[in-house]
Amino acid sequence: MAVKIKKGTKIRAIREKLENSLEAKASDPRFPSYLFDSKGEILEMNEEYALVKFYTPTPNIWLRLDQLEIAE
Amino acid sequence: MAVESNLTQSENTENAQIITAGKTSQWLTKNGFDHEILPPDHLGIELLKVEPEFLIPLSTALFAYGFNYLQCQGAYDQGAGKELVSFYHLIKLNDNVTQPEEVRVKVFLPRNNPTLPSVYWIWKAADWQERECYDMYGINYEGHPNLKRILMPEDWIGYPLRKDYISPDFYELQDAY
Repeated sequence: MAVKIKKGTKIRAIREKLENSLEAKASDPRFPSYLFDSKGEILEMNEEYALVKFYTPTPNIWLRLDQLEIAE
Repeated sequence: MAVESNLTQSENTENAQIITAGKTSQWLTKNGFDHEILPPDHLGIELLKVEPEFLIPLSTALFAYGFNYLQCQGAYDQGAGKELVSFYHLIKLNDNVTQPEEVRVKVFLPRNNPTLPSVYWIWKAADWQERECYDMYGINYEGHPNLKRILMPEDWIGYPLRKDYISPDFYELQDAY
């Protein structure tokens, strides 16, 4: 990964990392496709998590950083 | 870096703050009910932290001590990866009281298994409140007589007020299960 994930970076979720994680316990395991197929923007970050907004009319989500990859 | 310095600062202020046990806490300690004292809330009302397994004995004691009314029960999420909290606001309801005694109780629960006993059998007011907390945060209140969703459709999957909740993009599809 050449570019580092920071505020404003466009990302998408990694299905393998998200499935069966602690974070996945909050939601329906049949994840909506916008997580993986569209670009989300990092709105805020702490050491372990990032607040991600996807351009779908849905609320933003806190996801663990290792569950995210940079979208080209 | 900014985040780090903020953290250490808040840690310092937390350590520097001397928390004195309030009236209710002193009474509980005297009678051997295990709890931790948290800093009082913005109104200066006592805040107690209780382990889930001691909630029922402590609540029964508080009820016997005169806290006959559950003013509010609710829950919140401290953030992704952090604990879920179930809280209880108790007051002593009586005739001609202008300043009723109050106390707040908080139970911190791990997000992978947020389970604690229901206080329904002590304060019936907990009925719908605990159902709402179950619906929104997935907190499992053991012993509640009718723990089912109250706001969301009953076949909904997921707990919408958790910080790491992922919303489906088509609500109609979930409704049709």
